[in-house]
Amino acid sequence: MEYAVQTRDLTKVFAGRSAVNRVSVSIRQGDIYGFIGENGAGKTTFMRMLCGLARPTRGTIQIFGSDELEKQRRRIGCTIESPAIYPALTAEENLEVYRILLGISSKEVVLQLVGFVGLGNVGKKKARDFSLGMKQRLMIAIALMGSPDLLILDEPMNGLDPMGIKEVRDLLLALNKEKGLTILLSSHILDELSRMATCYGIIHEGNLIDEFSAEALEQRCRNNLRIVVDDPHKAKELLATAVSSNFDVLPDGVLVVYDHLDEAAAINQLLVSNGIAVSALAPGEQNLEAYFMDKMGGKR
Amino acid sequence: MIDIIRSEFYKLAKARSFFICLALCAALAVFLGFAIQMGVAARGSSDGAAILSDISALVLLEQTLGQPFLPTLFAIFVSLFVSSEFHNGTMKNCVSKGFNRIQIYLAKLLVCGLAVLAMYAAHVIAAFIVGSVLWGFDPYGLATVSNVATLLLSEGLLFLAYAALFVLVSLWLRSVGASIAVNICASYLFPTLLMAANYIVGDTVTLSDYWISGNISALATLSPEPGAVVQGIVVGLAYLIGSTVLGSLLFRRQDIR
Repeated sequence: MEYAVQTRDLTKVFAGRSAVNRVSVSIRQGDIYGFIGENGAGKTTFMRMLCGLARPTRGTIQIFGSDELEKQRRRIGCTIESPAIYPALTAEENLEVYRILLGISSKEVVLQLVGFVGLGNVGKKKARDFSLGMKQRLMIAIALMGSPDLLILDEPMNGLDPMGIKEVRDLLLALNKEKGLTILLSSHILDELSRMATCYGIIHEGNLIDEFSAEALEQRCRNNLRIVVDDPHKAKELLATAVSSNFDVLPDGVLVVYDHLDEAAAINQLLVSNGIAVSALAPGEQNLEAYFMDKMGGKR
Repeated sequence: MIDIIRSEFYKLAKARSFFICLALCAALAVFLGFAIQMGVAARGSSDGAAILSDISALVLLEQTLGQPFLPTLFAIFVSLFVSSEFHNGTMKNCVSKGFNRIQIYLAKLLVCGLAVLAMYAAHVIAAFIVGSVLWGFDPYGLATVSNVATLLLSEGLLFLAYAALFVLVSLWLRSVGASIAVNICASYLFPTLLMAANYIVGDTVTLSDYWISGNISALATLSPEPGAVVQGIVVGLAYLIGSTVLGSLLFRRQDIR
C-alpha cells in the first residue's frame, strides 16, 4: 500500500507541554483524511510539522514514502490557520508570486486557478478587501498552484457561506476523484467533513485517540445498542468477557454496543441475571458529531 | 534559488513602501539642498558668499550622508518588507513548499540589500542634481574620482551592513511594529547610547568605531581620517557577514507561524 503521509511517534513539545504526543498516522494515497479535534487539541501543530513550519521534538515523518522532506514538500499544497495572502495585491498578483516561486512558465495557470475557485470576476480588487470566504478560496488556489499531489487544509470552510462551503466541497471531491489528490483536512463542521472524508483521525490533548474509515464510522453510527445500567463498571467487564469488546462507555455511564445488535434480549438477560439493573436498552443512531462528542469524554 | 529571488523581486516591484521610501530618499536630498540655499540667502550677502565658496553638490552629499535619515528609511522599509511576511502569514506558503530555508533567507537579504542600494542611489543622484543646479558639482576641484568612489562605495557597504542587520532583526522578531521600533532604535538611538556609554568606559576606546553609524559618519567626507576607510570596510563586512550567518542559522531553526 502506498502512503502519502506516514508519521511515527511524532511529538511537539512547547514549554514542557506536549502539543502533539507520539502521533502515528498513515494516510493512504487518494484518501481524504478528516482530522478532528477540539481547539488546541494539536491538529494545527501536527499539520505545521508535516508542512515544515515547525520542527518535531521527536518522531519521524515520511511523505510519499520518502524521508527527503524538502523535496517531497514540493508536492504539497497547504493552507494552515488563517488565509496567508498579500493584502495589497489582487488575486491574480497573489497567485503570480507563487507561479514565479515555483518556476511555472505558463502564465495561463494563474487565470485558470482564479477561475477554478470562483474569483475570476474580482478584477483589480485588492485581497485586503475580500470577504473571508474569498480569502479562503484564494488560499485554496494558492495551495493548488504547482498541481500538488497532497493538499493539507486547516479549517478550509471557515468563513464560507453555505454556497461557498458546497463549492469548496465539490471542488475538493472533484480533485480527489479526478486527479487522485490526497487530502488531509481539519474542520469543526463535522457534518461537512463526513460528506467528504474517507478516513478519520481524532486527536485529543495531543494524542491520537481513534482512527477509523468512513465505512467503520457508518457501521458504528448506523446501528448501536445504548444501555443504561446502575453499575456501568460491572456491566463493562461483563460485556467485555461475555458478549463483545466492541463498545464504548460514555461519560454519563451509558454503554454503547456496536455489534450483537440482534441479541438485545440476551444481553438484557445476561446483565439482569448478574445483578445489574437495566433501566434502558434501546437501539440508537449517531452521526460523526455525536460520535466525536462521545469520544471526547468516553474513551473505550 | 533563482525562482525565489525572482519571486522576491516581483513582491518588491509591487511593494508601495519601497517606492515611497525611494521617493523620500530622493526628496530628502532635494529638501536639504533647498534648505541650505534658503539658509544662505537669509544670512545676507557677505556671510552667504563665504558659505557659498565652500559648498557644492559633493558637500551636500557629505552633509546628508552624515545624518541618520537614510538608515531610518531603510529600517522602515526592510521591517515592512520582511516582517509583513510573518504578519500576513505568507512566509508559511514559501517554507511549506519545501524551499531551503537558507536560500529563502539569502534571497530576502539580497533583494532587501539591492532595494537599500537603490534608495541610496536615488538619494545620491538627487543630491548631485540639486547640488549641481544650485552650486555646481565640484566648482573648486576638490574631489578626485578616487575619493568620490571611496565615499560612495564605503557608504554603500555600510548601508548594506545595516540592511543585513535589519533583515536579521525583522526575521527574528516577526512583528512589523516591533521590527520597526528596534531597527529605528538601532539606527537612531543606539549611536546616542554608545556616546553615553563612552563616558562610562572612558577615552581608552571609542565605542562608535565598532558600530555601523559611527563609521558612516566618519566616512561621510571626501577626506576621511587615516585608517578610517579600512576600519569602515572591516566593520561593514563584519556586520554584513555576521548578520547573514546568524540570521540564516536562526531562520533555519525557527518555527514559522
